[in-house]
Amino acid sequence: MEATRVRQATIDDLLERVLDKGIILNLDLIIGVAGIPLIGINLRAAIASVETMIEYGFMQSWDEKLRQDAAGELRRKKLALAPGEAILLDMFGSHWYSDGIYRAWRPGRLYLTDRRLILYRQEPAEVLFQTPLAEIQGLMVKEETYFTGIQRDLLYLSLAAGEVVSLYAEDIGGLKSALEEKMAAMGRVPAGDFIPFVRDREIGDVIKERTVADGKMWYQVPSAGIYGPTWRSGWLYLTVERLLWWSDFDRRLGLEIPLGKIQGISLETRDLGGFLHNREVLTIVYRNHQGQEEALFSGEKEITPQWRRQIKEQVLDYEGGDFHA
Amino acid sequence: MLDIDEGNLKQGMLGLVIALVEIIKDALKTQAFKRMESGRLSEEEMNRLGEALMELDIAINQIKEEHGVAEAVQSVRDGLDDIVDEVIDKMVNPERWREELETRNIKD
Repeated sequence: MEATRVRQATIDDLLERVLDKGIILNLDLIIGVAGIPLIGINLRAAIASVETMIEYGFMQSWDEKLRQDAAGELRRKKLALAPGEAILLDMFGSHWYSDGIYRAWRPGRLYLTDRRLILYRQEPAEVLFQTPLAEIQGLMVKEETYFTGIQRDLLYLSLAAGEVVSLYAEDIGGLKSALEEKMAAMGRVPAGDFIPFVRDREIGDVIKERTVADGKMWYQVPSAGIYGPTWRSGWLYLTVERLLWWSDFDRRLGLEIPLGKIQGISLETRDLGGFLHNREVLTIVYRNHQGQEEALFSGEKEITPQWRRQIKEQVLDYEGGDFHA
Repeated sequence: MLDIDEGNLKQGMLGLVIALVEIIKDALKTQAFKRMESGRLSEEEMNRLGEALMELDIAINQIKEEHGVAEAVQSVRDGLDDIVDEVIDKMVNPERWREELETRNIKD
């Protein structure tokens, strides 16, 4: 048998009762200093639901006027469509917005017209996101898992400008098929398998080529200015062209090595100082404008050899490199 | 019970804020139903109101899912409900105070 909770009153009940009956506050207050009254406050307040107010003969004309104004405002604020543009789908949706430190899902109403995909917020009125259908290069729906374990489908669009956009919509399947249908009618086949970057949406702007592997990796950031070399956590991406390390701390690319510049990959046991004695370190020797450089990575014991093998394979596959196995 | 440390500061604060937003939302919803029942609103207004409230629901749920604060929100709401219940119970039945005092005396 499961335990049940029997409650007599909840905060919702309380609020409902208060608003339904209404309360009247009568407050007389004098603020003084050193026994001399200085400021007088005489406050009379009535708080109740508008329904109750109207019942007692208050605010009726105000209520009507406000609703009239709102209706007029709404007509003016309607989403501006081009002449002849027709809305095909209309649903709740949101768009991942990222600009500097401000990153959030911005909800609004998602409209699919015969020309554009628009996310429009009515209050305050703003077009949060829009793209002409002709600029959509590819689309895919991918399940994203939150750290809470809840899964949700998101729609990813790759746009002509090379941007990857993530959208959430109430009926994501319907939106996807409508978009595909629309694009097919325009004689275009969406490119299917681009990879949306779920880890940090901004890296989607950086990596355009196919990603072979990615995972958590520590990287020893070389000394700069007064700072000595420091180990930082981040995410390592191996693509068909480059090896990239995304810094979790700076939220930007911390290292980029074209595969053709890699000259050696090895696993070494090094003393990293502090508590980190005898750690296995993935060392990658590469060429840059200063000559030869060494990049040190460290990760989970089991996966570091895998990384070594995978990078080596990619480098060997890559033509025009000067890798010495 | 709010036990805040570095790890759950965000959870706690966001949970508290969302719980308050949710309570206001629920109150607005109840009032919206009342207004709809009164027959003073036009068909179009009712649709608009219903839609806006539904979107608010979805948006709040989305925030809760995304930040994993559903549990924190629920616990804040349960806590508030308990307080309201207790206060009202005492206001409605003043004898409770005596009962409580007596039971405490017996325990001591």
